[in-house]
Amino acid sequence: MKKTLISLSLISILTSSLLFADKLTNAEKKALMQGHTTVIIPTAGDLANSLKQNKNLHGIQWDRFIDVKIDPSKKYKTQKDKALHLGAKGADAYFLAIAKNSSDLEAVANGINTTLTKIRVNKKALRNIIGQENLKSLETEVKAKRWSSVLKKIAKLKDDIQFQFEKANKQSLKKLNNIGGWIEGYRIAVEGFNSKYSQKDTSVLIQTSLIEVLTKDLKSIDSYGKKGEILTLLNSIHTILGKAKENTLSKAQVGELSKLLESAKSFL
Amino acid sequence: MKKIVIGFMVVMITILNLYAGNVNEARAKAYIYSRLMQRAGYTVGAVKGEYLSNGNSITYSRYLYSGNNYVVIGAGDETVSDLDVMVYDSNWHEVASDNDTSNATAVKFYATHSGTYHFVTKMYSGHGYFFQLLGWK
Repeated sequence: MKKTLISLSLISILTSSLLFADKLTNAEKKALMQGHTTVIIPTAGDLANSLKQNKNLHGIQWDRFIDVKIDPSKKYKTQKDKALHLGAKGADAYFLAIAKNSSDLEAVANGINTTLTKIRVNKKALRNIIGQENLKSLETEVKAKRWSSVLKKIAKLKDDIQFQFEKANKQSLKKLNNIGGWIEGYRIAVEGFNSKYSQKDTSVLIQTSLIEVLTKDLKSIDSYGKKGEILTLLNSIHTILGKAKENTLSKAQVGELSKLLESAKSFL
Repeated sequence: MKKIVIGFMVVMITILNLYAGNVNEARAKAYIYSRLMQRAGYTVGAVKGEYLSNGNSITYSRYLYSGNNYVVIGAGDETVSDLDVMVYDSNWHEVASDNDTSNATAVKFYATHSGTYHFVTKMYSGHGYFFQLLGWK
C-alpha cells in the first residue's frame, strides 16, 4: 500500500503531457553546445552502482582493493590535502557499501569523522558545521546493514560537505574533494577489471571527457604541492584511454592503468 | 483505494501549497521530492538551485554511468509558471524530456552508455528560482 502511494506520487510528478512538446531547435542546441555550461562531477557512488549492476562483473570483491588502515607515515598537513583525502574516503565508503562490508565501512566512517574535525571552514571544524546527525545515522544504517539506505546517507554527507565548501567559497577544497573521490573510485574500478577482465565492459573506464574537466579544475587551484603529481597521473590515464579501440581497453591497458594508479595511494 | 490515493495526492498538493510565498518555496518542494525519490529507491546526488528569467535556459552537464537508472526532478517557486527540462546525451541526442506546462519538471531515463549528459532547463513562462535534483539507482 505504502509502495503504491509512493509510486503513484512519483508517477504523478513524472507524468507529463507531451502534447505541448516544444523541443529545442537546432540553432538553440548549437548555442548551448558553444555556450557555458555548469559541469557537475559524479560521485564514486554512481560508478560503484553501475559496476554492481553489471552481471559480467558479479563476483568481484570490491572491498579487496580498499585499505581501511591509514598509513601513519602519511601526513595530511594542509586543508587541501585533507579535502582530497576526504574525497577518497568517501569513494571507499561507497564501494564498501556496494560490497556490503560493514566492519570496514565503520572504520572508514570513523576516519571520515576524524578528517571532518580537522578541516576548518570559517574557523570552525567542518564536522561541527554539518553536525553529527549525518554520521550517526550513517553508522546506524551500517550496523543495521540497510545497504540501500547506507548509500543514501553517504550521498547526503557528500552533498553536505560540498555545500559547505561552496557556501564558504572554498572552491579549491570542493574541487579537490571531487578529484580525490574520482581518483579513488576509478582506482578501485580499474583494480576490479584487472582481477576480472571483461573487454566490452571496460568502456565504463573510458572517462576521457571527465578527466579533462578534472584536469581543468586542478589547474585552476593555486599553490598546491601535490598538483604536479596529480596532473601527471591524470594526463597519463588520459593518454592510455586515448589508445582505446572500439571504445574498449585491452587487458594490457587495464594493467597499465592499475600500475599508474598504484602511485595514487601515496597521496590520497 | 481510489479515495485514499486521491486523498493522499490532495495532502501532497496542500503541503506544497503551504510553502507558497515562501522565499525557500522551490527548495522546500525539492526537499519533498527528494524524499519521494529516496523512497522510490533513488540515491539523490546533485542538488542545484538557480534563478532564471522568462525565456532563458541553463545547462548542467554531468557524467553518467551506463546501467544506472536516473531521475531528474525540478521545482520552481510561485512565480515560475512553466519550467521544462530536456536531457541530451554526449552527442546531443535527446534522451528524455518534460515539456508540460507546470512549474515542476521530472524525467526518468536509463543510461545506455557512459558519458557526459546535458540537462537543459528552460523557463518557458514566468521567472524565479528553481531547484533541481538528480537521483540514481
